[in-house]
Amino acid sequence: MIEVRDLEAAYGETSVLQGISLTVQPQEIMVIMGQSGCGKSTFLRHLIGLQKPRAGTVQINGTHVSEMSHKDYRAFCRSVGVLFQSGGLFNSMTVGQNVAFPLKEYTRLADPVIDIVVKLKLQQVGLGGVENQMPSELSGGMKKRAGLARALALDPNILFLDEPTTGLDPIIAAGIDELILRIRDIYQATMVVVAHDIASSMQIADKIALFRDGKLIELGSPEEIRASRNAYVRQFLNRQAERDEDGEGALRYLR
Amino acid sequence: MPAFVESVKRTCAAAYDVAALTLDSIRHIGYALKRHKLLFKQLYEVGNSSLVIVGVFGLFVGLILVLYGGDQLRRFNQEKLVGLTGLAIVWEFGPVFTAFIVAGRIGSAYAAEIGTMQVYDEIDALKSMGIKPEAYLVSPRLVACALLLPLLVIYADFAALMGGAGMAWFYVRVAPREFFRIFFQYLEFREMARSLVKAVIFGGIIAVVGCYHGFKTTGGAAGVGKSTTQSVVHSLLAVLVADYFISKILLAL
Repeated sequence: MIEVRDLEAAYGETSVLQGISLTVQPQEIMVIMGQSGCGKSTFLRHLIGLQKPRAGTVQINGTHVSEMSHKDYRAFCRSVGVLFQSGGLFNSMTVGQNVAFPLKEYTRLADPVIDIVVKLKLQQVGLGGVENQMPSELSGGMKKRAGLARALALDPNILFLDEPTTGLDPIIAAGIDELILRIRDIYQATMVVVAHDIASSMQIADKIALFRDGKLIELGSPEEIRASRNAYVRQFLNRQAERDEDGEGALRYLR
Repeated sequence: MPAFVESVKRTCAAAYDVAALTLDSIRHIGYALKRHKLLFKQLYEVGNSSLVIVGVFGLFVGLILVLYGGDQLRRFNQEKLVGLTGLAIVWEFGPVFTAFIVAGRIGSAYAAEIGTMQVYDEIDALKSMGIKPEAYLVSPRLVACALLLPLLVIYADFAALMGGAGMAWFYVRVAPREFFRIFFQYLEFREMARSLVKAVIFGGIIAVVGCYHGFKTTGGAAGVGKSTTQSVVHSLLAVLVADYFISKILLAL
């Protein structure tokens, strides 16, 4: 279970997250949504322990993430998989070496066994046969899948996915959505997914948290979010552009 | 004036960060030694990419020193002492010029490589797997540079002495045998050791400064370019400053 209480974060003097509190139950998929720059990725970085909160706490299975010793943090990382926005693959290694990396770091499996696990993980994300390719040879969708295969390498029970479908065409994105749901069922994993795509989020989420300017403004099931009367939530779901008083916004400069 | 004060503050903060990164990396040297493949890769990169350029550089340093040294000594009819230029090579030119080449060739590569990793979330990916970037990225590079720079200095000294001896023969009319007789007559073992101690420290400085600038990279491809340039400028500066203080300390011993 992931419990966040009154989380505050800042970059220098600029406040990025203010008083975020939410709980993610085991095997639940929580989707964090919001506009670009609203603090979604920063929130995720705090869950992973890459940043320390200015105030508030992040507890995963009862342990404070920011207060772990390096040894405890390694044990935590072993049970967690992370997919970064750009895939986060090591560009100096082949795809196979990328997926094998956590296995070599955390297990004493023999190389032939690691090769088998790598093939299996890549097949699970629909990328069989690309072990020897370099990340630069893969398309955007393939990179995200390969990143997902690496995140799954140690059979994690918690997965953090940063914009898994952003920048992908609708068919590939739908494929990744299906993959996320299947992974949750197979690995019985708890997931926190940062996303922009409304349709995709509605399909995969058990709960959706909507952020605005570093604040959590709505939290609920996809149905509850759809039924929300909050004006910003309506604007976000209906994809309405920002307007100022005269209803023009930035468009006034395009005359 | 406030801009100057700000600049001094920034420099002090950066020096503190580099010192902290150095200590952290030294603490994790065991990790680098255990993962010998990582270390061998770095040793190969440093040695392989520097060998030719260090040799050519050394050769020309030897040629130029004898060209000027021979000319000056000839004015006093002391050209037979041209072998003394070899001492300048061992004392300063060998370690400092080799450090300059490695800073340009390897330090900049470290900044670019780690900077690109920073831009593409690879450093965060490492951290999220519970791996300290100082252990995985800096320690092997620190060990490789600190181990190989003394060897490269010996190699550069050798190339420079060969170039110097050749130049002495053709230009100053001093036979190589006489050149080396004078050189070895005045060369002291502790001077050689001093030069190699400096090389070890210079190697460490180049590796850590290059990696530090890599970690500090922000702003995409332009940021990587900026880090690479800064790493070279700051490495050269740090090597020269360190050279002064190490020389002062070692000469006092």
